[in-house]
Amino acid sequence: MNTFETDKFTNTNILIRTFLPLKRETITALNLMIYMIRGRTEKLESKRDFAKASSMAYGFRTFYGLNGYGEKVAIDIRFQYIRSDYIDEEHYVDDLCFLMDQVLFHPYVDKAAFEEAKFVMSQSRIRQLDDPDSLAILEALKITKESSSLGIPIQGELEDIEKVTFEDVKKALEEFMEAPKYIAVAGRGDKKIVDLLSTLKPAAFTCDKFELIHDVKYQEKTIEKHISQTSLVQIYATHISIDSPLYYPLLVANSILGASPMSLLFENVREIKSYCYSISSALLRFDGGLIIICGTDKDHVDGVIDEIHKQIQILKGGSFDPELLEIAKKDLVDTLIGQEDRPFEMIEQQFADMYLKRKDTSLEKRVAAIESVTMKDIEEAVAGFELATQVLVTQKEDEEVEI
Amino acid sequence: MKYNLDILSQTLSNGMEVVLVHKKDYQKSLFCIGIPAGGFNIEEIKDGKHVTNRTGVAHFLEHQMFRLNGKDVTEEFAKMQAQANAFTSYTETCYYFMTTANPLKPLGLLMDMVQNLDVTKQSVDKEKGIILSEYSIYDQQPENQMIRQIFNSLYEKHPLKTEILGTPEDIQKMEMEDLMKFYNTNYDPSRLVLVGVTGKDLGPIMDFIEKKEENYPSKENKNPSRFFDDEPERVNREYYSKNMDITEPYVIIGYKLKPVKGIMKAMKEDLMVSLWLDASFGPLNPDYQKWIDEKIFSNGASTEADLDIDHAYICFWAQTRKKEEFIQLVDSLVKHRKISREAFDALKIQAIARNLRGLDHFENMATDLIRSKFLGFDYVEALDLAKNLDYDEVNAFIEGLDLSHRAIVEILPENEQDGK
Repeated sequence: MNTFETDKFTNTNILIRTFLPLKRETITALNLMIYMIRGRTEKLESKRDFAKASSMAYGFRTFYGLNGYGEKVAIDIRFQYIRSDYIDEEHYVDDLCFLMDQVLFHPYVDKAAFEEAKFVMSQSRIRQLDDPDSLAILEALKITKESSSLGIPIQGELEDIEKVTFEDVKKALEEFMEAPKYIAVAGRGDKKIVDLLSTLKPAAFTCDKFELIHDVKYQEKTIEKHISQTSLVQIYATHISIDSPLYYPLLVANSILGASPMSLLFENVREIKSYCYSISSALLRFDGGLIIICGTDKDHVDGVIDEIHKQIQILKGGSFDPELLEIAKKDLVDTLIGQEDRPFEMIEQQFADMYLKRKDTSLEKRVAAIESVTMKDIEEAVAGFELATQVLVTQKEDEEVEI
Repeated sequence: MKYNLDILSQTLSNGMEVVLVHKKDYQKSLFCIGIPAGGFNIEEIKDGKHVTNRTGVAHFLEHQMFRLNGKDVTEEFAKMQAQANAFTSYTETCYYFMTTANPLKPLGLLMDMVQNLDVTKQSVDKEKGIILSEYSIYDQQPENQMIRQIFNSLYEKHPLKTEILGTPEDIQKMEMEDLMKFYNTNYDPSRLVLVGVTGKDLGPIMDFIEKKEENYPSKENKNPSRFFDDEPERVNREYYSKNMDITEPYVIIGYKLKPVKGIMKAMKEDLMVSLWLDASFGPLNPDYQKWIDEKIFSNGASTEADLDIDHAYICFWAQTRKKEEFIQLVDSLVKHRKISREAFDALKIQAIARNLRGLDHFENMATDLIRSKFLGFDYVEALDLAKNLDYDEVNAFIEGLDLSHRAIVEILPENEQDGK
């Protein structure tokens, strides 16, 4: 078990992570399964019973989530509880153990929950697809690597919901329960709870293979809707995997381009040209990709695209102010140090180090790796950037009516 | 129950209030300066005179404040390894930064930035496109439209009906003089509250702040105030619908209540209403599962309430095709309001836990401390409200609410007609 003992948090924070393959055939069933087991266990069969028991345990919290890790999907259960030395009740830790035991070992599913999950999941997906930004991102990911893990939406496919059977979900649950788990605790631990968690089958997940975006053939798509603002998404292939020596320079390059407070995109597209309120970039860590997202008016789209292209050329040529390199590094260093104050980020960092089989993973080493990145490293990291996909969800103009 | 709080607080000679909170073993620091002016400050009384501002002026000014001596200070903060930001709410504007490095230099910069106005015609004109783009983001969100329209339905005159960003017309027409007037009215040092939440020692930080503030004497003797027109008890319009490019409709039902006299009373009543809403429109209600089984709503449904000294409302909303069933469901909740003992006990404990957890959230704690100073209530006393809730008192209050002033708003897919 991975533990981060500290007295500074009010909560004790626990992550239990399971890895399963990320496949189009099973992702929707996994999503339905997660919905079904949320708030229902063998002894707390109704949402009401579970909510009452959790509330009485000083707002004990259970979160479920799915996250993509290249070809794998991580199924997370997170617990948060007020640390026991703050609560003056004899049975408090026993109540917590009961709840965790129920969630981890005795989830409950039935056909009624299955029907409910299908309804709720459909509504969630419809809401997501109605949102222009979400729609643009999902479409861009899909067409970038149509038949690969990048193109599989983690939230499942709307059109697959009715195809999934109750048996599919039961099978997914069985696989989930059987699979080994990564377990981590951040905060002030309690022996009884640690003993309970120790009965799970532990795992140390590692990754050897990364399926990066490659054989780039540029694709674009435009979708029209009656909306107030156009969403523009571009995906670039970086050809750099997360375990590459160029990964830290790539991190810094992304910060300079669109993630730091003085990024090239923010300064030029927003501050100088006033084309938008929001523009940013982020890495698709396990896929060798970089995504740029911008909300702008239809009349400015061409200007935004030109400016993005211009700033990427500036980045490639190393012809940006060296001060921006220092600012980007400081911003990343601050984020790294700040992780020590955010329990689930501490856990995620340790997990990533384990997953990628990194050695020398102290905070000092990571900070040194960032601080040592040079302009030449940046140029090398961005040299291979290729635009793979562009999606616009744009403002539909009403047809003129002839009189 | 113990609160993990180590506070040092002082009122400076220029009237600025300073509150510093020590969070042992934390790497980060957050410092925030709050101004008691926001989206509600459209009509003000200053020196006995009634002043009308352009809508959105507080927010526009917030965008402009990141300048000092002709330069954008974002770069200066970034060089100090600090991330700066700001926000405008209905009642305050806050400027803050976070860092894991030594906070004194960026703190000095923050204090200088907020207490000096550096704005030009060019900077104002440049910002218009950016703010209009921000406006468009909210304009196309159906949930935001739903809230905006219910406020318009509930209120005839109250500035809740006006977007914090203002109208596109006022954004377009904003002039340097509008911003200067607003700044001079509201940004005097005697009106500001500075909060710091940090893992660093508090003493040297307080000394630093005290010394720096000697450069910023107060110029004002009289406090300006917001002006609220008399608001009728009735709603402004009982029904409204709007079509948007969405797949499933939204419906929101709003109830207009009388504002509450006294801030601690308002906070207590707001807490009691929240408890009732969680009990009635959440999994603790035995009917909740039935409503989901009947597909009246899914997880796109919630409540929203705010009881304050100048306004009060309660709203229920859902994304649903079964609008009539949803309206009937809410009607039944409004008619039969008693909270069960079981639900009350569970939610009271949860509220206590929420307060404890909140002490680890630097941004929320800073905002709450700032508000406590602006509104004149004790922060710890406010935390204790949850602990002191009484079952009979809560039920008597909830059952005594006048929920007769109701409005309904629907956000419908294109080509769908309203029910009326």
